[in-house]
Amino acid sequence: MDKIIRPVFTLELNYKIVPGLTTIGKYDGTHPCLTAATTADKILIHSPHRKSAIVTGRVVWSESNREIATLNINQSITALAAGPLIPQDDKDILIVGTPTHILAYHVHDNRDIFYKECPDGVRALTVGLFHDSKSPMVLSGGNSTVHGYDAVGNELFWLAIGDAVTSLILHDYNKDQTNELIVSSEDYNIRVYKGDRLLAEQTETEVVTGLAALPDNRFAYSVSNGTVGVYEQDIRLWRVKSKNFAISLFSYDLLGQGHSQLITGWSNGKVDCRSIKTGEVLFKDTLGHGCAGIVEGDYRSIGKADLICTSSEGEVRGYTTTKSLSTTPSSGLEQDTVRDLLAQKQALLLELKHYENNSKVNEEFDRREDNLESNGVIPANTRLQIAISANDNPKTKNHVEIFILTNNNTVIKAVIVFAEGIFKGETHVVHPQQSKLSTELSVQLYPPKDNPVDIHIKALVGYSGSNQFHVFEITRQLPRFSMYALCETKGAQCDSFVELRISERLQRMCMWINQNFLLAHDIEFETGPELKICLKCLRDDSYLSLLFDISGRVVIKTENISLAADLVQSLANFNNLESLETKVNLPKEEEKIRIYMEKLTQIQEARMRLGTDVADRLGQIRGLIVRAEDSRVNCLSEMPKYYNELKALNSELTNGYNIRLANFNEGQETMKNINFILQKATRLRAGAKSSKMIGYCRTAIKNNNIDGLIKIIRTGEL
Amino acid sequence: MDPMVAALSNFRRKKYDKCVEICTQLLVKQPLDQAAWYLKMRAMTKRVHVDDIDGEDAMTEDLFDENAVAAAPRPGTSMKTTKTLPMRPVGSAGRPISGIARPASSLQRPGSSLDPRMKTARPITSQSARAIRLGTAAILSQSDGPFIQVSRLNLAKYARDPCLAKPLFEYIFYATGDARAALELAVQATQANEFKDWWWKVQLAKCYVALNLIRDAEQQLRSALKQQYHVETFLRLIRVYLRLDQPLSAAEVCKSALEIFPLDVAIFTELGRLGEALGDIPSSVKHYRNVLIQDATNAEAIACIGVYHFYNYQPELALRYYRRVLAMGAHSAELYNNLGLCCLYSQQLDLVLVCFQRALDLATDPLIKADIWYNLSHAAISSGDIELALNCLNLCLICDSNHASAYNNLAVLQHKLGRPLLAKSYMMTAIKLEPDMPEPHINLEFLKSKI
Repeated sequence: MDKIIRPVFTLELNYKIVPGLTTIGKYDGTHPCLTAATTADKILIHSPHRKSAIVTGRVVWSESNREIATLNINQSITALAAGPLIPQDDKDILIVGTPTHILAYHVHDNRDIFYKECPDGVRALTVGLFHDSKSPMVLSGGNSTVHGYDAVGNELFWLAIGDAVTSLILHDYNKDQTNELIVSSEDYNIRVYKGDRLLAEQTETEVVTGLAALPDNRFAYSVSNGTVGVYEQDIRLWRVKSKNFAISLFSYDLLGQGHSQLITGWSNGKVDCRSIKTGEVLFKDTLGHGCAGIVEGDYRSIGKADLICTSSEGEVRGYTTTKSLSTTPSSGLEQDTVRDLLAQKQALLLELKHYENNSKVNEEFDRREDNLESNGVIPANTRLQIAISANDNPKTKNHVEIFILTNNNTVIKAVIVFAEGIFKGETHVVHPQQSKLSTELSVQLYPPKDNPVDIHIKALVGYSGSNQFHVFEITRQLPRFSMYALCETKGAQCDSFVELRISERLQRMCMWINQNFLLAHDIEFETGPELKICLKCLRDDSYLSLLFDISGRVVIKTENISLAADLVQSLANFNNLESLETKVNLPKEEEKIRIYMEKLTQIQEARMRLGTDVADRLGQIRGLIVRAEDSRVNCLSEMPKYYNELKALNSELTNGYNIRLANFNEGQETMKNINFILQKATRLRAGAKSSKMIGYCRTAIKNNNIDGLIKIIRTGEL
Repeated sequence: MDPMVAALSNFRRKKYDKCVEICTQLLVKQPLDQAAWYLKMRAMTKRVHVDDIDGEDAMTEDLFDENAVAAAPRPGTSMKTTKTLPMRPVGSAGRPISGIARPASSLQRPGSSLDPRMKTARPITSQSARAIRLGTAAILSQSDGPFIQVSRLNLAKYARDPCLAKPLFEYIFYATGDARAALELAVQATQANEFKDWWWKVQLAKCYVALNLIRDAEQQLRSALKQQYHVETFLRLIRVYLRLDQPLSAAEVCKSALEIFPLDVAIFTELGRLGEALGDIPSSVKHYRNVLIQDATNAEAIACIGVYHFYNYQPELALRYYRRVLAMGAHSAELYNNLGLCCLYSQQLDLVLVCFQRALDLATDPLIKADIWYNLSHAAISSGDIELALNCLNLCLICDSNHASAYNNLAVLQHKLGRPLLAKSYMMTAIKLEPDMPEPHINLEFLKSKI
């Protein structure tokens, strides 16, 4: 059933829009203005109400379209947001993010609210109330951090994320009537923060590109592989995958159902409207080009907000709430239903026929054994046996092995494994050659990350000659730390360790180990002062040893900071610890952070020098252009000389730019590495300790205090 | 007398050339004499030093300048949109004819004899003409090569020396005009001072402005203001916002500056100029009056209030203000021109021609001369002498062949004399010269409807 919803207005901006960079703001306090970044690095502000206003003075509005004004930014635009930032002022402030700066701009008054350097870059922006701040705050997500600024540009908030932020929203996640910060980053994660404290973390299969707040404490997310889904707290309600990817997510009541639907703008220009609860498509339309953004605003000055979709070629369409019209004739509905039911009946009949066939064969089992294969029927008592183990075989590449065996002479034709985030895509099919079909099959998995994964296995069982196969469906869960195998050798003793104190019985610790590791047999604690387990990581052959003391002391020996962090978090979760303090000794990471910090200082110095170089050359270019143009009037023969000089200067400038780019990228990379380590280090603590540590890190980074930073990593205190 | 003492004495008496000479002799004898080196540096800086706070041009017409954020800002929020005030005629230089000439506005005049259409191809570039002039002047004065080879200096070493760093910076910045080298020194000096010296931050900002890195300058100035409130810093920050074409931000800076330095003349003047630039004349006059309460001899404020009264149909009041300027010793073509106009409109006809006579005697710039002849034509028209008016306008066009208003008025007079075809061609010329001027268009319509 397709409802007919026509756009209530369409217009052409005649500018190319960068997908994802659109927003809407009431810059004069009443009229919404569609704002977008154009591909020429300008910001376009479309003000439809301007049409009626009397044009005064010599205001140069765009010649082709009086409703459009542009803003020069002179840097590439990476993020846009608008919102009321100044307390006691109803005018929206436009926030613009560039790779190096953040600008808060008062469009109505043509003045800067603040302009700040963000060495970490700006990837995502949002404005709203957050944390313990009484007034709105700008939150900007960079390459590895999130910063929060107040209305004068003071930094109020800082958070290390560990990878580039792709999207930020402020949303009441846990129904406590205050906003939580939901951050998606390039390490496939969605994290929810309440202030400095991490509330929840979800891992997706690919880079999460967008987030959108939905009513009833839900939020939608989109992934770069084309998935769109909805979470209600930490439960995923649904997700769908498409070969295009979603550019923009928005919640709007398009169908007049009294509650919002999820509107998605896709890269191929499709705009669809889905039910938030089920993901069922209720309406779709197609724009001429890829969707660039979806916003909501009272664009016709009628007192009701319309849904505004912008395409990357500058086409704008407005939709409004359309009550479900019962225009579809009832006969059509009946026909549809009848057709559906007929199809269902057909399928059921077919199934029944199979069953009859099967039972008949089973009855005649003794008499016509040779006929079994040709009929594609297997004995009723066929069972599959499945074993999952961490394979530590030095000859092959280390992996997690799923071993499947049938209990009679049937063979396994193929195995289809569904799992998230293990393979490229979501399914993995193993199908041996016809000649190599046997009653057993092993599937090798290489989980790239330490996450618990649900694996759904579908095994096709039959005889090698049969045309039809029986499908066995099995679901298993891989524990979080599946890529670790017991090893007897004590391994080279490493001096990197994390030490913490958990007052729990060792039996409970055994439970944790058995739940979270994929070990051949369960660990039992009998007696003795301590429990020691040596493990080998199958990914990089490094050693991990866990030591549980009877007094509650836990020592994790590993050089891998993220593994240690995962273990600590898992332990803290398992034991429901409010706060956990740890002693950390990771000399390698400390050495790394020292090197990175020093490198960063050097890079920043070089950057300053390079910047002035460019400015100086630009000054020369200006002079030369004027002279060249002068000589065009006065003395033509001089002109080539100036233009040749200009050309040389220009190529110099290009070279300089490349050097600067390399320097900038290196700086960003270094910054990212530092923040990665810091983020992991904060994860080595749990709860209040962790958020306190974030504050210390921020101060240490600001003061460039390397020793302080290392001390924080070690003890969690400054 | 000890030559060092002599040099110092000369320096104090502002005989910089003499001082430099003595220092040079000292340095020939003892090339490593730091005191002499220092004094020579100071003297050479002082010799060419200008107060560059007022000198920096607002640069709103820079062709390549994309520092301003809004390309089409709302009226009243930008310097670009409110160039023309509805009631005031504007000379080709872009300033009210009878207003006051400011250091900045003098640069905006097209220096070459290119016709007006070429103006777009001849913008003022970031490194102001003055900076370039200063640089060449400094080099010319040295017969045997430059005094200090900046590129050979170990800037890091000097940056750490608190006594030498500042004079060296000023020498590099003012005397050699090399903003880049100056910037390098300033960067290292700020680092040597652990980012705690506001003076260096202001100097950094100066260099950034010279290099057209306006945003960096803004940051440095703001950070300097956090450490130390200083009128100069505030003024420079205001300039920065004018360069960014954000007059309202500039006004905000003025207000915060006034909280710290209440009644400061320089800041009131800035506010007055801002109001004028934004077309908010009443507030501008209010601020100028505040200036006069503090400093009764501020010629700019007096003249601006005078202009306000003149265009407010109170020529008698304007006359009082201009006479005050005259009494203060000012003696210029513009002033006499303004006095003449005031006399004309306040019916003190006996003084009109005398004033214009003086103005013509003093005027050297052909543009000013043209304006005076144009004004004289008004005097002739009001006395009914059309022939004299025609002569005046022709003289005006001799001085400035691009004076569109003069062409327009000529056309009207010719029409009065019954020569519609001649009038029409003058009208066309006027339109061609300044297509934005409304009068010739209206007149042409009128003429066409008649014929």
